[in-house]
Amino acid sequence: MSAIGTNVKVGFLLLAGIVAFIVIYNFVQDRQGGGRANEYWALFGDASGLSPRSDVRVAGVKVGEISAITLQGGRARVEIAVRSDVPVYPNAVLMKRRTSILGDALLELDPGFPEPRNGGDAPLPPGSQIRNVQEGISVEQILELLGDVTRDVRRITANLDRIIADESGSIQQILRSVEDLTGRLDRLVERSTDEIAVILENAEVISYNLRELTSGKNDDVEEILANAREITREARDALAGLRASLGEGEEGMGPTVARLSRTLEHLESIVRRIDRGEGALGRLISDEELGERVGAALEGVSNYVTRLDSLQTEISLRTEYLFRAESAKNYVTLRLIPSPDQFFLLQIVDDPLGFVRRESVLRSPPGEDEAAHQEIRTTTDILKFSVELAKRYSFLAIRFGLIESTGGFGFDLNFLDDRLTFTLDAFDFARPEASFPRIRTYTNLTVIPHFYLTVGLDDAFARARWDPVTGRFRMGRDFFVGAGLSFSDEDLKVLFGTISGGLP
Amino acid sequence: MRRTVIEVVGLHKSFGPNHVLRGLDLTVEKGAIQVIIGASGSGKSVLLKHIIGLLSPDAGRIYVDGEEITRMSPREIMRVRKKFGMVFQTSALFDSLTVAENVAFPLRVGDRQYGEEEIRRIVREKLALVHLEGVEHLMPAELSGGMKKRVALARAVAHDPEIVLYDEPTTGLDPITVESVNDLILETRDRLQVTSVVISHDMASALYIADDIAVLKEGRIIFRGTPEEIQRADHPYVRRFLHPRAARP
Amino acid sequence: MGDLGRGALRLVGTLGDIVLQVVADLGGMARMGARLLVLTIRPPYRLRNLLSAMEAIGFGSLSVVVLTAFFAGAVFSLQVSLAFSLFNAETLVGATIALSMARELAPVLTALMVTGRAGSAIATELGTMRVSEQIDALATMAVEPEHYLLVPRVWAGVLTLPLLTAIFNLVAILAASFVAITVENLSVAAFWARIPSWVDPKDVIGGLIKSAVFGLILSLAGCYKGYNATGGARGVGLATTQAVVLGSVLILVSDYLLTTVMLPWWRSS
Repeated sequence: MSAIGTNVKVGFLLLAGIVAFIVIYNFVQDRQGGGRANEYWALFGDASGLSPRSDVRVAGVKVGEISAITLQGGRARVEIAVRSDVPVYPNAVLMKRRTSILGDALLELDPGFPEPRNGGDAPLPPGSQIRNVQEGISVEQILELLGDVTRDVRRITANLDRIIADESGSIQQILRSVEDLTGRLDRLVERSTDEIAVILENAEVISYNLRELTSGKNDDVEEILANAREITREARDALAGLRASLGEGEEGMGPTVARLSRTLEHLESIVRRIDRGEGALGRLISDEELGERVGAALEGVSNYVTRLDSLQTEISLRTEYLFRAESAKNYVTLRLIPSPDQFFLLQIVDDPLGFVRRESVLRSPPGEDEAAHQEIRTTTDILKFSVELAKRYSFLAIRFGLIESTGGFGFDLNFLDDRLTFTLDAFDFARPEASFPRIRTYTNLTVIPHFYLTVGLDDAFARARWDPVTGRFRMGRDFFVGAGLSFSDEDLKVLFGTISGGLP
Repeated sequence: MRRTVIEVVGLHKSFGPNHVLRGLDLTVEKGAIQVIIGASGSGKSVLLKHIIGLLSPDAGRIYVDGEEITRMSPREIMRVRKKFGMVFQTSALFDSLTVAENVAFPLRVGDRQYGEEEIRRIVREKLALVHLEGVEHLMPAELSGGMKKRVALARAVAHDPEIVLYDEPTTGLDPITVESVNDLILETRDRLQVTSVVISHDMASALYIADDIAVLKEGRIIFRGTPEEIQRADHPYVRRFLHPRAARP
Repeated sequence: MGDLGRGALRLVGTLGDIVLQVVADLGGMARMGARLLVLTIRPPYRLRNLLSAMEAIGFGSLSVVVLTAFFAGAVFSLQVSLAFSLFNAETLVGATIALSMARELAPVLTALMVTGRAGSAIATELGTMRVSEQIDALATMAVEPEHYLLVPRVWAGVLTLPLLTAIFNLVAILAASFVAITVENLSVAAFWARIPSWVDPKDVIGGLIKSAVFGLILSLAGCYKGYNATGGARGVGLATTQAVVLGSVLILVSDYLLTTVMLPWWRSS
């Protein structure tokens, strides 16, 4: 009576609490296993901002974390654990980097490279010191620097201020005298127009006198001119000689220069055309859209290549025994995993219950005039297919698509590195025998690599029904146990590799 | 001469400065209805709690069926307690359980394993004994005071005890209900052959049901006798109990 | 002067009484706890009583715990997002909330809510049973009342509080992420990314261990005050109030002590 209610409520509480704990625990747990990390250490002058469990990153990718910070001779000894598949060489550099102004920091690791010349081609053995350390500029240092700068600025402005204040009298004096001067000049000009007229007149007289003077001395001038003419002739001769000596070889300097200038002209025109975006190269260079398109295309190709490279394939064979149907059900499954968060599932199923096809026909029963609806249910032993698309979030995978040749969806809960999986499928929504879909739930436990056991419940909510004529189990709740083999393409490569290697 | 079931010898009990029981002696004979009468605060309830082992005395001895319970380990006291059934002044029904569950309670917690069907039969039988039917599925809060008392009695006798203790069974009840409770005490004794110890300050009821009455005052028994002897007694305290001033003409 | 002096003396006296009362309660609870531990191993084992106590303490508190968790997470998220966005440290919001929830807030808030709801209920129920002689009645039926009534309640407290705290953790962090992402416009990644590296399983487990201790304290306080209630309905009310006050105070004090003990473990890697 009421005890049942109590049990249900307490059970619900237990389940909710345990599920909440598992969800949180799974989320909080660091994915990289603790055992497969190498320990290194380094000495820092200032470890502020670093704390145990701070990230250690290579090129921004987390590869480990700080395991401990201790004091060693007045310096901070920072011990780090780095994933063992990241080799660290003797010329590695460890850098401290701030991630926020709050003082939070992380370590950036440049793992270095092999240097055969210095005998440094072997990775550092675990437990050794990373000697190259860059502390980066700490917030404290920035603040110190800022302090210095502001002190300087303040000094300059103070000086400027003082200069302006001290010298303001003299500056004003200068301005006043300039004003004074211009004013005086103005007055002077005004007053002196008459005098200027006289001066100009005088100048006219002087030039007249001069002209008179020169006309009187014509011979002297002619002599001077003759001398000058002779000098220019001599100079012309010298120049001609020089030109002759330069142009001596072939056609002389002229064609060479002309060719050079033509070439330059061409080049200029090409550049201009390219610049204007004419021609293929021009368009490539100047058309931004096209450039981007080419870039994208190249990126696409590279993505495709990496995706092909990262595509994983998994093949599994599974057989299970259904207790009520008293027969086995077999599955061949191909899982294509393009990325860790999604996969495609292709499955061929050999179901002892067969595939039920329903047809509604109109026929006239013999001896009756009226047509009657009749449903024909044909159970055929054809294979069924599943094609599912799945998306994975952490330990939860949600699938939808075709399940056993009918529409459906399902989800998996994966624990213990996917060794323990709880699955629930809902499919065959449209069957007339029951108002609810076929719900199948099962648990897979991988006991040894590639081999798993399965136990589950098929069609959980439907009453079991047997065919009245044949006595064959037709549908409904059924329990099953089974086992399966599962191989990834890596395994298959190894397998085929050994086979082909073994062949003569 | 009848066999003595309960024997109390020289019982002393103090609560702090309050010396409640002062060398009390008492014997209860098998099959009798022994009423212990006394004023409020005279130590009646304390005596009862000693008899069932809920309290342990400062001095003195208590024998139940010849076994001295004052020297027993808690576990042995538990065993002896199974000989008792107790009806509390406030009935003390478990208010989280139904009437049927209350009556069945002593059966379920006992050593003997009863089947569900057997428990149901006993519950019906005991409720019939106290003239209650069809109340099995009610909660105690839905019962009247008199009904609660009956259910409490049914619960007290459910496991067929040898001794039934009544703590002020008639206090706070109307005269009609008092009558029926008194009849029930007599009926229970007659049908189940149990020894009954009733503590009360209700002299009228005592005279009606008792085989033997002990009057308790200041931690001692000051008078003992059959109802007839009590009525003839000239002890002033006893006379005040028999004829309270308010009732005198 | 005389009045003042007397007043001061009386105050000191009252304070002394309070301290003495707390010490006496602590001692009484410790003795009761030790006795219940001994009784626990003694048969019969009453699983049904344990289950119904778990129902009353655990399932009964589920709704209030979920509600508290939701709003605690939401409010905390608002405040932390606001403060951290001033420093461009939005990526630390999720980690900060998750860490403080796991270590402190979830165990303490859950325990306080359950104290208010179930600790008081235990005290009321036991107090009522005490003053209406039901506990004596149990004893006369050859049942040890402490074994029958108290052991299952205390164990139910110890067992259900970690469950409720785990649920509190989950609900609070989901509520916090919801608020941070929808109200404060943090990106989903910014909220969640740093949590795994900042919060360790042992932070969560430490919080759950704490909550088990709190469960012991609150149920023991309720049992102690209720079981020893005297003086009718008023006494029951008093016992209930005292159980809640005693439980809450002891939870906060023991939280400080437990955190002190656990910090070196949490800090170690």
